[in-house]
Amino acid sequence: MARHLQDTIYKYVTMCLSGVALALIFIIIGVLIDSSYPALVVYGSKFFTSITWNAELTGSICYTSGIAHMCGATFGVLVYLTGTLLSSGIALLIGAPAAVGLAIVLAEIAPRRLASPISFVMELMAGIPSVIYGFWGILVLVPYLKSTLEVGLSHSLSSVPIFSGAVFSAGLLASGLILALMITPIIASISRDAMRQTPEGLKEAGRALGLTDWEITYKVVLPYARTSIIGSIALGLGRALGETMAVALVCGGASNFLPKTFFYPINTMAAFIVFQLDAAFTDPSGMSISVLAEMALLLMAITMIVNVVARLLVRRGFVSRPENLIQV
Amino acid sequence: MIAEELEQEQNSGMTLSDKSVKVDEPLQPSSDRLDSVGSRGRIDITDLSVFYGHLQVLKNINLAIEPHKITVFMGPSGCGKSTLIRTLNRMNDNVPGFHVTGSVTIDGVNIYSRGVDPVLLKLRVGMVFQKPNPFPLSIYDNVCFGPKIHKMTKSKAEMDDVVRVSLQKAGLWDEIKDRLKESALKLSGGQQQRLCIARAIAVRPEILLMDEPASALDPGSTTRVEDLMVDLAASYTVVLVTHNMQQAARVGNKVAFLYRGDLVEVGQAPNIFENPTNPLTEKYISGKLV
Repeated sequence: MARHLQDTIYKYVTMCLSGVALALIFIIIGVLIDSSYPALVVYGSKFFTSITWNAELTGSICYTSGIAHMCGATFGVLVYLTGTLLSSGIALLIGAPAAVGLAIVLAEIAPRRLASPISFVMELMAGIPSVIYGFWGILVLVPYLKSTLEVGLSHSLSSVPIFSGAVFSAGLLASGLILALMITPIIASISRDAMRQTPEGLKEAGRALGLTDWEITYKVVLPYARTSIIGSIALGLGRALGETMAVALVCGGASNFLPKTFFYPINTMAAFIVFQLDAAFTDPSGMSISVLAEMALLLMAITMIVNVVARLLVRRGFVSRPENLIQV
Repeated sequence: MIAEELEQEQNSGMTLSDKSVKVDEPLQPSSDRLDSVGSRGRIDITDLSVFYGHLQVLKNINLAIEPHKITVFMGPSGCGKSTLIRTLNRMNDNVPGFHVTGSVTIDGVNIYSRGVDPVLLKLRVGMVFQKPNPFPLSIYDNVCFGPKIHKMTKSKAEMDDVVRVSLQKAGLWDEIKDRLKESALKLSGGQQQRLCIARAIAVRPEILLMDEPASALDPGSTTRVEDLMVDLAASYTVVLVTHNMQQAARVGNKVAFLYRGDLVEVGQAPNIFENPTNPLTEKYISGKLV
């Protein structure tokens, strides 16, 4: 009897604990929606189309639909939304292929003697606090970009608009590269583990059919690990979108203008929330907090969309044909 | 075109003699052999020793494997029978420290000589494994996997024919012809193993290596696979590894008994079980050798 009771307790305790996680998400979303409601009413769709962010903290208070806000204040998320999407996009374009390549090397090509130390360093990299990446970015990456890489790019590719023009010390390229560096170990370590799960029997079947090593990787190992690889890329992208500290240090802190080249200073939503929060609390109308909450809500929505799209890609079979492949 | 050949081959019991040059080049046998019907796919093992690093796992093996016969390697675990069969299509090349002395010739060409591409070799020497290992793809995609990679067909219709004929030869067509698009993993173990045989046949090998193909199957499926081996011997050189003596007796034409890396005795199937000449063979057959 006592042992049955044990089972009952076990069942309900675990159910409660999993409920806590679910409840937390709903509480966070609820709080964000509640806090951003004034901003939604007052600024509406202008919030998404304006590039100007001007809180007018010293002005007087006006009322729209009974909601207080500073007279003449404008809040537009476009600069920060663009910065977030572009820097994460660059990170994904550089990081995902590099990570999958690294995973292939570690899982398929490198002998154990070489793969183990590289794996160790890679996992270490995944665990480094982001402020250290940012600090390294400021001390090493940004000066290098300014003195060498960006200069070189703008010289040799000056006919391409996105590579032409003035070189800034910190900005879009630096943010994208730092983010790429940060998400590569995450994607690579998950992908490597997934590739190593490929049953030896399948690889032998491929070899016995006259597949080369590359064909075995491309036709057997990658399809087998496909689900996890897409999942790891979504995870990496989520990390890049929400990354705050490292980007805050190397983004250049742009406001009120959109990037025209790879070298422009940018700003991201996550970094901007951190930059602005102090000042926002001094807003007598409270509107500054509300617009930041709306920005946070938008960021959350984007990361959720990334996850949903990743799931759809997995189900639809992005890499290989749909109905045939068994999900792993 | 290919399908017709495959079919012809099936009906007449002849092996293909005009496969693409690319495949044959590294193993080009003398021209008189090319023309003589039914002599393709002969394996001669001469003074073969196999090592993994310093460990010698096969000692001085001499054996002739004839086309259209089932040659069985039998012996207790660790006797080297699996190593020997995997040496015939160079599946061991990836094992660290693996090297051979002596020679393995297929239709007169040493497969371990320089200039033989171990990848192309596998198009002539197909293999079926102990555990059924279909790809997590549809039944159709499993069979066309090899032909597709090696670009062996020119059209979808041709591929359809290759798939059909391969499945027919593997005795699976009638059971699954209406569900070619379904996952191969939904098939039973015995069906999966016959699918693996169809997949191996689809690249048109001359030799089929079967490494304990029935040891993971139930008795009914085992019988089906054994019957299939006998049918396949009409078109292919079949080499079978088994630790099941009854199986060796049922399907084998020639039986080679291996023990601790030595080839102890070779004989025709009924003889070796009824009148073994070597005391070791006798002990093994009577179940006294572990």
